Amino acid sequence: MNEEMKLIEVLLVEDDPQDVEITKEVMELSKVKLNVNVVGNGVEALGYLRKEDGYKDAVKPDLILLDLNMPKMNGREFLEEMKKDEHLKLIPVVVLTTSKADEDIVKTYKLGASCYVTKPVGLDQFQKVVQAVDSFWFTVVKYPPVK
Amino acid sequence: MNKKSFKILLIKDDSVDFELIMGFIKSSELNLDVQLCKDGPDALEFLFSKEVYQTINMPDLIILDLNMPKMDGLDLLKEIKKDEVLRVMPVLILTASEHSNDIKSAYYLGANCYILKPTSIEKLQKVMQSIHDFWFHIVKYPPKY
Repeated sequence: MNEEMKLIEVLLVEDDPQDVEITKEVMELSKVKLNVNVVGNGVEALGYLRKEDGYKDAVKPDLILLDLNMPKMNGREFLEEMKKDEHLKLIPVVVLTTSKADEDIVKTYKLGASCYVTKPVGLDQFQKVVQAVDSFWFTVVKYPPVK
Repeated sequence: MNKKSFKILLIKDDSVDFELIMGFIKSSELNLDVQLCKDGPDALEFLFSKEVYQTINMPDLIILDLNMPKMDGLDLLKEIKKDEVLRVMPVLILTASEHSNDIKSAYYLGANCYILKPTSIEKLQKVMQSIHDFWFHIVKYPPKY
């Protein structure tokens, strides 16, 4: 357990404003101190992680929450790209998507996703899923130290 | 996944922890099928056996200790994640080691997450509960053959 209660940095890669809102709302209720940053697709996420233009002050996240179906660069392409990058591959990625396709599940695990979670349809159910992510990933898991 | 039945491969040599973890697993409402391997070579033999490799008998989830005799947990992790078939199985590292080099190496080699094993029984139970609630109720796994 992370008893020292340090601030956990989360990068949410999600293009649906409603899902962003719910995820952030549930995370605000977390017992853990979180800082959630949001980007809308894979291109922006890579820009953020590499501190490119517009993201000069970006803080390296401890955990990435990744949607799969997004414009410009989708979640699969982003995952492939970041897990190839020696500086980024250590960051665990939780896939959070509406897709239930077996090929997406197999492919994302192969590419190095830490786990695959499907977004349920109802609001209550979705809140429960976000809470479960919270109580495992933010209280139990140890992250690599950030330099 | 039929009727919430899970196959877990537990790789550790410490029998005291094993008893505790098994006690917890038995109390679960889910149908959890646990295979224990006491070290790395034992685990590799199991995973690559023709009864398991690329079959319905593959574990859904692996819980791996780092400090073990014969073969270090990180070396075993490397072997699992190098294999195209085995690499889709999530590997949870559960260890007493807090060394930042172990944490970094584990993630670098493809560990799905790193969990520090608490020293007290009470806290270990909490950690197991949390693994249970997330990995057995929320996470989706790749289909098996």
